[in-house]
Amino acid sequence: MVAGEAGNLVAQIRRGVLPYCVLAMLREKEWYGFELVRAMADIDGMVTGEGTVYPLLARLRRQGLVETTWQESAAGPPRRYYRLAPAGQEALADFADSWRQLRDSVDELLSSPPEDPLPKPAPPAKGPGEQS
Amino acid sequence: MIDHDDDQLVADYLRRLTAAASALPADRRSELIEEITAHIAEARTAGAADRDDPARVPDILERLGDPAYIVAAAADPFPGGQPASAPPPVPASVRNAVRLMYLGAAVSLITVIVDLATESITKSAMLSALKTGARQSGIALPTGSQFNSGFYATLALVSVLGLIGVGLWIFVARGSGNGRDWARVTGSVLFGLDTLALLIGPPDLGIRGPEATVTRIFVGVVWLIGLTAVMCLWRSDSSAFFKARRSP
Repeated sequence: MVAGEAGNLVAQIRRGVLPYCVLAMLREKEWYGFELVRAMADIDGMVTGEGTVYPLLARLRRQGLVETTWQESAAGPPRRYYRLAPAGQEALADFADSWRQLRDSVDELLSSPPEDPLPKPAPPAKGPGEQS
Repeated sequence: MIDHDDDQLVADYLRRLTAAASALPADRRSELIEEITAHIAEARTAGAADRDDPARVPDILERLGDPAYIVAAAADPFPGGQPASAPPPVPASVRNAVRLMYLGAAVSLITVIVDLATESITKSAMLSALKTGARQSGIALPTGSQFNSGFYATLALVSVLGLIGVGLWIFVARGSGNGRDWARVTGSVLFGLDTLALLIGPPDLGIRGPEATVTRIFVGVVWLIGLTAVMCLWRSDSSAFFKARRSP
């Protein structure tokens, strides 16, 4: 490990959880491509660019985790709306469990040292005149 | 209001995206290009409508990101699992260059095999050329064994050089397929040397006849293969690929 690697690691983690973040957003409502991409960019601070969300959405569709419908739009051409598929709901629930477990374990390690399983050596006996 | 500069920016961006996406399967490629095109149109409309946040086309395109990275995300087999440094897919121009270089290796190998197979023909042609030359200039002929050892030594040398050439073609092909700069530069330098060698030309040994013509045709074909491969390697899509592969 090298100092400064943490930023790289966080970026990797962010990329790893990105699909599940998209699924989580679809839990609340249906989104069409453009607004979903903009919302992700606002919340997540993706580094590599909004354009990379579209291939991600296409892959989620191919995996059957999301479903899409085309809806007419007053503003222009029809829009593709995304919603969570049953398989996507399951995947999201599984991920949420795993994520919470991992998050809790890491938080615990970071906030306080783990309990020491070995007994500490006895402190040196106090001589006469020393205050305890 | 239609701003022609903005339209040009968008057209250029989509052109780069299409070029980078040439490595994707056709259905994914057209879908991606459609979606990005629709995104840009939506962003411009939304920007035109919102006076507080007018979306400038350069900003829209910058937020979208480099087409090479978008295509890399599309080719990524591990959803979200790969780091962003996952290599971008190989564009058609580089794939073609690699295929050409393997072809060049094959033709060079055939040349070596043919040279060895026809050595007796070459030998007698050289012998008669020598005799003619000796008669004209009055220089003494080498003895039979001197000629033989000289000829076979030359043949061995030429064959070894030929095989090294085959190896170099393959070496550069593999490096280029992996987007290595050294491969592209080495390939171009070798092509330059080959061109130089052709211009200077081999010494005229006075060998005539169909075998010499066939050899010249092979040499010309190999040179043309090299030229086409080098041209493919230095196209802009290829350069983008080599640049993307450069960063760790």
